[in-house]
Amino acid sequence: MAAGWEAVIGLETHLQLRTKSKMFCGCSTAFGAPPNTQVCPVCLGLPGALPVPNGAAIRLAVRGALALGCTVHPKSIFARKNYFYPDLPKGYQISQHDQPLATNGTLSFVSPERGIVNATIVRLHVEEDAGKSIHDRFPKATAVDLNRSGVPLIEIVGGPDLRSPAEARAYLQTLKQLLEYIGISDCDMEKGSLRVDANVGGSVTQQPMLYDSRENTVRPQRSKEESHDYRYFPEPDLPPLVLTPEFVAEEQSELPELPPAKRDRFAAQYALSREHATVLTASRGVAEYYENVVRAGAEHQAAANWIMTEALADAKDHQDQLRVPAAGLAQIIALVKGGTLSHQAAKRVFAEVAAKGGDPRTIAESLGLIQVADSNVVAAWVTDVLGAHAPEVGRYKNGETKLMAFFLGQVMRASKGKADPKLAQRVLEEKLASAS
Amino acid sequence: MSVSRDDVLRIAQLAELDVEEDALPDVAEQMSRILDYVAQLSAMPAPTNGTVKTFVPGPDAIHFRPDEVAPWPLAFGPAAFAPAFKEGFFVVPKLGQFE
Repeated sequence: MAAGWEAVIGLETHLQLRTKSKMFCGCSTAFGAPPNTQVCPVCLGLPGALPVPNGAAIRLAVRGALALGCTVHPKSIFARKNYFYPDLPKGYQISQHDQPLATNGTLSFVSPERGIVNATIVRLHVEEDAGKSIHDRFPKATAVDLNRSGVPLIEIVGGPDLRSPAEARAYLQTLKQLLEYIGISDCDMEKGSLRVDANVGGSVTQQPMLYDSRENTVRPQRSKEESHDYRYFPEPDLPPLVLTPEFVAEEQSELPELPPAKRDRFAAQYALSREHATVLTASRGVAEYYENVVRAGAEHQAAANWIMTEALADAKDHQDQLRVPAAGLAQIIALVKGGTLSHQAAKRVFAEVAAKGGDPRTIAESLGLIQVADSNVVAAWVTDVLGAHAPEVGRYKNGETKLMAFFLGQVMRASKGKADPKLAQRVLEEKLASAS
Repeated sequence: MSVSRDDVLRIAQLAELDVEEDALPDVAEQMSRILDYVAQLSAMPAPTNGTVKTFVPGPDAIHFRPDEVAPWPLAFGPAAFAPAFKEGFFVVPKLGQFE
């Protein structure tokens, strides 16, 4: 954007809710089925078919609204949004218009430019998804798959509070993290579970722009009264959506600890830096893993270090799976702390447990990685080394104490890496002192 | 007459409908009669006690369906009633072709 201009961006986020069946009919929502095999008279828009709402979808939508701090309205109204598109068989989408499920929430995120920003959530409403049009499968024709038609969605309308693409990105990452935490959607952008449209304006012209995700283009939005008039009216086939206070309270109680609260608690309870607490609470799965490792007896900072390096690197290469069980990682950490494994050896054990499973100690033994902490055995190696390096022993005694590193290296070599380095150093110091 | 020829053209445009020039006076007159009738209804005195309730068909509030996969069966598969069907897909003209 040219100098002197400030972008004004508001995002509309569509999120597929994690339900087994569709919003208004009993068809499956499973992704990836052969085209048009999960369809029925309701989601095909056949005459006489009547919609019956899915209670679970409403519950998840309410949970999402509460997590965003929205006011959930005791009464909201379904409306028909009329437009023409080949993947919308009824010619309208059942949505909500002037009386949405929830309004007036907030999403706090860290802007790379302005620090903490409290973005407004204008509204959150329930609607059904359209089918999928595929324009490049057949020449001169569009292929339509209606399996997605009627899948439950929420639309989250953010206020015009974002000032740059980087802020839009940070907002979306925070929103996605929150929605994943509360478990209402798989938020998989590749499957289309989470889709975003942007309304972009410049504060100089105030021309509203529309981002078209179908065409991946940005164009000026035409005035509301022209082709974007959706001729909304209340859905005559559905009575008002009335929610009791008990229903809303139940969903409030279902909310887990949300990311900012968890991050603050981790920092305080486990004496972690803010940066470490942020990494460990980035996803609910990792946060639970950390707490399980700590519960299994691992020291707080050591558990954090192992997860932030080895565990997350391994997960990144394996579809985000934390492959070493929490108890196993705690055991590896204990073996290092107790001097049984060197840090390098422990990394090998970790990789082995990740790939093949099994008990860390047994694996360490089978790989010959257990450090020898038997002082008689270590003393024998030390005696051999000192005997073989008499000139160096002489120089050491004449004050060249930096040779300790050399002796230690020789002992490690003689032991093929199995000597406990701390014990070896202690024995070396004793023997070099007593030989004088 | 409360609806003008221009009103009809405007409404037709919003509804994405084509209205023949010859038909405009008739449509304007019919629409005016509808509005006049609604105006008569609006002139009826409101109830003096209690609130006016918006009419909603059926029960006062939605009843939920449990989240179970139980599709309502079709008498014929989509291929049997689609205008064109190929490799499992409905086949329709590209959008630009009938805009």
